[in-house]
Amino acid sequence: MPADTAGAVLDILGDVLELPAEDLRKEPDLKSHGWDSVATLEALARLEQHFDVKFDLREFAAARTADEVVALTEGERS
Amino acid sequence: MTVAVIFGPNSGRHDMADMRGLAGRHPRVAGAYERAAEVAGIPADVLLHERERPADLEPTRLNGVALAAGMIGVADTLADAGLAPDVAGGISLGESVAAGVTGGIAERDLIAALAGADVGPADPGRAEGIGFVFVPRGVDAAPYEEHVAVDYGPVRRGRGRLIMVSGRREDLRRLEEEGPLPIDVAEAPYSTTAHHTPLREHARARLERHLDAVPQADPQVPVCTGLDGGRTVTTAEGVRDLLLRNEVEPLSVPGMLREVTAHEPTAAIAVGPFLRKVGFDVPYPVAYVDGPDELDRALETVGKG
Repeated sequence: MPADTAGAVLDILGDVLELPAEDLRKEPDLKSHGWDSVATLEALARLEQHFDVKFDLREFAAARTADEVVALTEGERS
Repeated sequence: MTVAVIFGPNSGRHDMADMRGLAGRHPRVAGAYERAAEVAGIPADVLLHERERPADLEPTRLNGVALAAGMIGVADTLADAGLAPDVAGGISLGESVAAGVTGGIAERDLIAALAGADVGPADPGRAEGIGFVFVPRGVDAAPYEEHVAVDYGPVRRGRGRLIMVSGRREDLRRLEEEGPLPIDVAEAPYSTTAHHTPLREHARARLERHLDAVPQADPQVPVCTGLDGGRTVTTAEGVRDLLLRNEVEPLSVPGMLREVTAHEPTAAIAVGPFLRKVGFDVPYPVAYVDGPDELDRALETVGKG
């Protein structure tokens, strides 16, 4: 996966969770940063718009870490 | 202090952990469950999801009664501590609860209406449901406007608009496939009908028969609704109108909040799940009471904890 894709995903997740992307590198567990159903929906919409991809909503909602979201995005882009 | 109390919506997917905690710690909440159980004919431990839901009891009906009972119990607890509402508001189920807490309809009659509600689709052969869509700022919401059931307005510090859409599942699927954004559609059996749309006329008609048989009264304080883009109800006729039109017309949360704010509250207490996730952008502090610790904190602020 291109490094800039991971960076862009973390930037969007950080924006959604209102914290620096660096915090997600240190602690990728999303729930510890206030991840909830509305945050999930916001991230999903913004990632789909940014990368022009379409996620499987159930798969996306099952993601528990920032790394998993990066991997899902990578999968959709490949 | 002028207190606004705002009640939250139903969710067939809600697990009731918050209400179990509240009922375990606050006798007034536990009491509300005992009363609701008697009226609805659903045991309190089923309402609180401590026991398995009977197969023939739809999650929407179960949680409608259960969340209403819990929110009424929280309102009772707050009132005991001197935090009765000076103005009330709500979203969807929360509007009905607001009407009940303020005396517009007796608690018993409200719970009976919820327990007896028609939670099936207009046409049994055409499944219905609800979904949520987050429209990021700058993205056109036009494809979703026709299906708006509850417009939550700007959320998450204005980064987007949250819309609850509803309708026939075939239409929601088409909207998801053809629209620019993902839709989180609630699966059956957690969502069995559309809400706040003309598809609910059969439910409105059943509720009307129920309301014909029980009294409505002028609410003791103004009740703010998201109907008509935001309106305040102060009469028995208004309560009846709110309860009936709530079934078949879309709701505006920003409109409801504008009405609440017009009554110049100095603080608001948001009761029920989901409201914290939405977050109200209003010019006064909001305490979100969605669990026993949060209720304790609200009570401690007035020295009654």
